[in-house]
Amino acid sequence: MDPLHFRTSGAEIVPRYLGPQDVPWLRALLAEYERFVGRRRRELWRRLGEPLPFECAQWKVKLAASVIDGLSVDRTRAAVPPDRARAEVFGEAARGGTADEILARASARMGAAPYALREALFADLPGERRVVAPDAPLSPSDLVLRVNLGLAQSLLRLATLVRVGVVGESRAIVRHAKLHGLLCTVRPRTDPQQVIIEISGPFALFRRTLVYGRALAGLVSRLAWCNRFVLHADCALGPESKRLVLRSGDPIFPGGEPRPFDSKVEARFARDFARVAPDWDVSVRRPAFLT
Amino acid sequence: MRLVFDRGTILFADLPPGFDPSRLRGVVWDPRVGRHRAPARLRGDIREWLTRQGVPFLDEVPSRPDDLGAWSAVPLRPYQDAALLSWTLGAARGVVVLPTGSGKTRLAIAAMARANRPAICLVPTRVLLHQWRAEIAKFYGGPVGCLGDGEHETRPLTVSTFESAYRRMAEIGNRFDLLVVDEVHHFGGGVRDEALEMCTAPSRLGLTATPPAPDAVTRLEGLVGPVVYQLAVGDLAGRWLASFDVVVLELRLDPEERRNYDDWMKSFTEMSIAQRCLNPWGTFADLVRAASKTEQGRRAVAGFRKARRLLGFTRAKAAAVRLLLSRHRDSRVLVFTADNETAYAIAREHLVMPITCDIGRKEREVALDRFRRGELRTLVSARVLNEGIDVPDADVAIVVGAALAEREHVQRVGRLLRPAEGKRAIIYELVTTDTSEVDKAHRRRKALGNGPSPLSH
Repeated sequence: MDPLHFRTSGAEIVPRYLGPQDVPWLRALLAEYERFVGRRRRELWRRLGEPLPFECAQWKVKLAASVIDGLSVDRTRAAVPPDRARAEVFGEAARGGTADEILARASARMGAAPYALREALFADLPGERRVVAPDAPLSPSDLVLRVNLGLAQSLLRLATLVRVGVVGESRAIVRHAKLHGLLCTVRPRTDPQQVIIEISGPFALFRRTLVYGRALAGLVSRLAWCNRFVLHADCALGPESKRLVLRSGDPIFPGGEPRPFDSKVEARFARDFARVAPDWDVSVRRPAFLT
Repeated sequence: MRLVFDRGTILFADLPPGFDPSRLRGVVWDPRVGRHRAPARLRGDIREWLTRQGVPFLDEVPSRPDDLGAWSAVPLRPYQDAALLSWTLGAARGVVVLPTGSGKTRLAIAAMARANRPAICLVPTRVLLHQWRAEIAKFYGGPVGCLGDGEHETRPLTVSTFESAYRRMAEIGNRFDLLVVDEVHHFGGGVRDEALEMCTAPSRLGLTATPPAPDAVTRLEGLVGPVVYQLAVGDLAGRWLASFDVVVLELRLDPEERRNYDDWMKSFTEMSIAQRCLNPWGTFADLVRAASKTEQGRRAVAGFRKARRLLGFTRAKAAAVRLLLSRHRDSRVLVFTADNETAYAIAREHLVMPITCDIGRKEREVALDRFRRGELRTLVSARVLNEGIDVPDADVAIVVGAALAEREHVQRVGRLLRPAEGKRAIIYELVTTDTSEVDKAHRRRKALGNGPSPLSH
């Protein structure tokens, strides 16, 4: 976890969320990406390491770039498949000769120009792949929320214990916790609509463990489906433990709608059942939540 | 009373009135479920203690064991036999330290065959996962389970990557009686130790080429056991491992490189000295953490990284690699670099096959196979060839740079020590004078144990 992604205030961790003030430089960053579509990724990396036409901390640029990268797929562009080129050229190299002689022999076997063969050798390496635009157009304000989601999730990965105060629909949270082998204890509040859910793993009893970090980080995208929430997480920051607080209204990208089925087996059953009995409705029974 | 396995832990159910299991160290009251709970690895201690206390109990922890397939005889060398005997005498718990290429996998297979009980082997990489599975299949007739690299099948004999074990042990930790941990030095530092703590296996065998670091020894003793047998490269070189020479090539930075290096290191050295005064026992990670709090500190660390990158492949090193590859064009050569960038630079210039994490597993396997058959003469790698991969019959290594320390070097040298008739391996170490590399190189050679003295050029 990069210490620049948050600050601490007493015992609390405060994520350095991006906000409306970041929209101009994010727009410029997206424009830079667009300029490099079709070019090598290492050229884009080099560009992002240079001074950019906007004032912004390097860690923010890196974070935003990683979100954009996650939403797009690289493409390999080469005259011959790179793995075949490597097999031929390096095999020829073992027989000796200068680089030109080796490439000439290999190109004669493969029917490709020596130059194209040299270009193809490493065309599938991460830095050599071509930049591709994200599938769906990305707006700067959308990017703000997505970067913030990444920030919150990376902090929650350090969590050893999470407490969520929920008003209204809390089923998505409990369901997520149970499915990931976590323990939930529920404490009702005076307001019957409100509950406190404490979530941790069985092993967390013995020592501060991050083994449940992935499962706990997955909670963030479920929170958007509660009417209102406050999440307190005890996070391991080196030898210290600090508290992260997330609330309804925090500028975080909302997760997708919870899947109707918890496993592929259930989904397959519903599909097959609907096929043989089209007049029936198949839905998962949702018992009332215990408060 | 019943003992129940619950997601990597043991739960105490139906306690007799007045009985308090928390008198046993490690057992804790869990208010979340209203029962006592203990880490799964304590199962043996709990059983023994309950028996001593005369408390009747039903142990529901182990899942019903499947039948094991048949084992064929596993031949061992004398020192492997001695190591296995030491481990058995140590109540089947402990760490065996043997050099790379001396047959640690074979030793573990012999331990599994003799136990003939469900066993799980943890290995650090996906490459090793397949290597172990193939090796076990030579002696074991039944199916071998596999966790990792997209496979999720658990069997009475299972091989798993560390990462998969970390994620899955809470579910499957009660299915095995023997836990084998390859490259066990990766554990004991707190990272992913849960994979060992969530397993109930009473018998545990750790394997490594280098003894565990002093700060991890106590923790590893609890998780796997003490070091029960240890030999260094020098103990086996000449008979069970090939003899070798270490040739150190002392190289200089050119004036421009020297100027840059000194500039980049200056502020880092100053910061490092200041930090040592504040925190004399701090680790390198502590130093970087402290530095990251100020702009000046961040610049110093960035300078250090630039200097390290420069040392990874200086102009003199590039020239030396050119010369050595041409001198040994008929040998099988492994080139080790500090980073992938350098590996690709060498691969491009000399048209030699890189073995890195960016090259797919199948292609890497084909390349290693061609190297074995002599169809490829040279491989260049930063990290992938460091640990475990079985690379037979390489006889020259060129160590261009090292990101890690002694442990990495011992592993790398081990790649060359498979014995063959009349074989004498050569290890070239490229060391840049008047830089931080000199001390590192000295420590690396020391780690080879009773090996031959380096020949300095």
